[in-house]
Amino acid sequence: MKTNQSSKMPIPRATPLGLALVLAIISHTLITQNRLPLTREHQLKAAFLFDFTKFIKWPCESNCNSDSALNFCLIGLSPLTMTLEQIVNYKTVRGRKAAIRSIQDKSQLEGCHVLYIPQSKRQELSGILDAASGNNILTVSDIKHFTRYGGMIEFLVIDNKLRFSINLRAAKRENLVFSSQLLKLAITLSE
Amino acid sequence: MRAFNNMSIGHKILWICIGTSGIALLLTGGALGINDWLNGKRTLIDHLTTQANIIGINSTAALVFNDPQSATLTLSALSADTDIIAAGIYRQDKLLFASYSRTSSKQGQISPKFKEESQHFKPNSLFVIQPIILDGEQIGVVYLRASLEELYAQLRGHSGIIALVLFISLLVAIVLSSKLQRLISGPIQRLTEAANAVSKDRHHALRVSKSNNGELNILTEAFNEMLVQIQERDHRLKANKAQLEALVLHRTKELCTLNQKLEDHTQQLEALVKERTAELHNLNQQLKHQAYHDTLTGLPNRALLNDRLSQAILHAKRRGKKLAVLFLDLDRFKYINDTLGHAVGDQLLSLVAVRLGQAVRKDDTVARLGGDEFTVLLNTITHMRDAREIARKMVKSLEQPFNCYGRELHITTSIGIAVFPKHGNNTEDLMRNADIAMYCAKTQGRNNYRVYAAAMHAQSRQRLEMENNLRQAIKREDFVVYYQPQCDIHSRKVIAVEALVRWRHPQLGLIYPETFIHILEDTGMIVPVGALVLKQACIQIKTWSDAGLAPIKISVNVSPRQFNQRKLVKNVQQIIKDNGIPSGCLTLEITESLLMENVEDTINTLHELNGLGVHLAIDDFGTGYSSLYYLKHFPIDSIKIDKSFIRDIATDPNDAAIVRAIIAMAHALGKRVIAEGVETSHQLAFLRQHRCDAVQGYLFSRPLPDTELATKLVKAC
Repeated sequence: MKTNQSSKMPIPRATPLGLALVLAIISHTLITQNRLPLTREHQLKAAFLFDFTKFIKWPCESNCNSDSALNFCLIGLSPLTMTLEQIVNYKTVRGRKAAIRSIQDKSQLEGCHVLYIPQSKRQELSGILDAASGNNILTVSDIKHFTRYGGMIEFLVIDNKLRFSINLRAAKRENLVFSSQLLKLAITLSE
Repeated sequence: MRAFNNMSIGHKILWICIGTSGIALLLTGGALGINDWLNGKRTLIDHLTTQANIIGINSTAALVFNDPQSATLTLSALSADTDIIAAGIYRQDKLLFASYSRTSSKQGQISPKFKEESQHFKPNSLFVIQPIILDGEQIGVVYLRASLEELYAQLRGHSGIIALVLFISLLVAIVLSSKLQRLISGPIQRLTEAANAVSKDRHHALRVSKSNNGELNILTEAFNEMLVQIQERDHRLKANKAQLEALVLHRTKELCTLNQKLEDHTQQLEALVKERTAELHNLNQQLKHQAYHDTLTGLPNRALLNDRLSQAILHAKRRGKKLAVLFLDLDRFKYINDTLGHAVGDQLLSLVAVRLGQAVRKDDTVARLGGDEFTVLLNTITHMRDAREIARKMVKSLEQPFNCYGRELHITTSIGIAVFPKHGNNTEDLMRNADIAMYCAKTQGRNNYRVYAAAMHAQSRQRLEMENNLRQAIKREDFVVYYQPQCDIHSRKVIAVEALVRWRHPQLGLIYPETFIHILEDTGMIVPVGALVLKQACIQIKTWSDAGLAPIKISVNVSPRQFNQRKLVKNVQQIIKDNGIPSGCLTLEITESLLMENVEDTINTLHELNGLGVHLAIDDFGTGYSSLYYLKHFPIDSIKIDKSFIRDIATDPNDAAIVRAIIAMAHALGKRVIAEGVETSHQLAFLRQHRCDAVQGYLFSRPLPDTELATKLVKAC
């Protein structure tokens, strides 16, 4: 995978203002962090996180107020926050506005549709997953064996490529419907 | 095309049938082929589009999550579709993401970079491009390519079938056409042969046998019917022809008779035209004569005279001879014309013409130029005296009294003579100089002749100039009236004034009548001037009367010309009326010579004037030959003794005796006597002694303008 793809793919229809913002942030990142491969990985992960929502249906979606935003929640300090903001900015998913929320702990999960749990929350993982359960929240993380712990999608890096595993059982439990196309791409699929 | 036109109907029908069915079949075959091709193509495109859609939908996740292997797997499902030879999925950045090829040939290759192609066709293949859309956003495209081989094979098969059907249809058309041709052209052939026979042999009795064909049967019947009608018409034509020939013969005869008549008419008309031409010729001669002759006297006119004179001049020039032009004017003709009427005048002119003709030689020309002017052309004279001799003869001849309408008329003539070459060598000069000489003769006492002299020319010019000036003066009314008082010899009071005309010349100043009055008399201009004076006098009477002066008489001279005017009485009456003056204030003075010229008419006029209340006086008494008999009958109030008698009364006993006699006679007749030209006290004493009534002259006053006179009127003379 090439570096420029991750920045180019998600913003083909960026407004001039958005483009200017992106350029400012990228330049900032380049100056403050010289660990380039890691940045690339964050960007890809943010893009995947956003794109997953296009292949997943939430249970109330047909009768929910479509005006209400699709909330991406990032718990704790997450390196993805900034990148995701760039991607999500002014975008919609099936007509719903996408919004990003940074939360500190599991008590703030109310209204979240997608929850990303960074490596830093590894210790509190089971608590967070418990709190999330029953709220129809899509849980994504790059914590190793995340699917085994009851998370739904786990990021993996294989052959220098970002891949993911899916725990369909966890998804079904939360009444989330995954597209067969998405399932087809999963490295491992636990049912 | 010409080849087709020359064909028999049978062949034409055959070819038309074959052509029509052939074209119809070809069109149908073509349409079927095109339809087949379009259908096949559309089906293929639809099929490819469907496939591309399926592939697109199934590879969205692979594209989004960057999994080319998965996409390739999806594409490999196409191996079941034999139409599709190659397929590819391109990312949004146009780079190839996944591909599939059925063959390794060139047709199966997929471009690594996406190219936007509008054309769906390449020679042997067809492709579709379908976008891959996720959540309303294009994330890539599917490209599918199919081989056209199969479609072509199918088309070839269809074409074969169509060709076969076409061939069979053609065969059937040929067979049917030849049958149809026999059916139609057979009976027509028979009709044609019959028509040929009829037109060649005029065998109208021929008929054509019927055929079993419906329309052709009708045609045959119509043909036969036509033959019947032609036969009938033939008969009728022959009959008409005979009739017409008879008619033509008849009309030709009529035409011959009419022609004869026309010829007769023409001859008559020609005779008439000849007659009229002769008449016209005579008229023409008459007109020509009239154009060159005077109608009254039959003498040549000015035009003919000019012609003859110029001829004579040429003649004389060549031979070195002389010729003379005599210009005649009858002295008192105008007077006769005015008083006795034109009839008498015309008669007189004719008689004059006869006498003049007698006075000249045969080859001389007497011409009348108009009025009382005659011109005589004497051809070839040897001496000047010859001309004088003839002129003298003429003067003598015309002195003899004429008898017109029972009246004895006395006239005299004045003749001017101009001789070629001495007095001019062309027509104009000779005529003019003869005229000038005539004028000279007239001014020098009349009844004589004069030969032209250069000095006359200047005189004549002066006179002419004077005439012109006078004409201008009349137009501008450049005449003023002066008044000379007449005084009572005893009381020395002004009792009357005589109106005397003066010419106020713009350059020369005031001119006395002695210099111009005779010109006015000769030219007749005296009439307007006399009228002017009369009018002025009447206005003056009114002015003085209005100014409060005592009523005063004004005497006005009336010239013979004026007097002989028929309207004189009327004019005087009008003027008196216009100015509203008492007629008794006006005295008209008439010369003694005038009174005695035409006594009868004069007496009438005098009585009419007297009837108006106007006073009358005889002027210049003693210079004429008054008949005392007439004098007694004239309604005259006063007599004015001519100044020539008064001048010498003191010294010449004869004059004194005459004046005494006149006074005595006048008093005896009951007339007043006025002496003119009284300049000395001796004269006055004499006149007073012999009881003259009034006096007029420089001793008392010269003629004065009206304003000066007005002051005088209040004083005594």
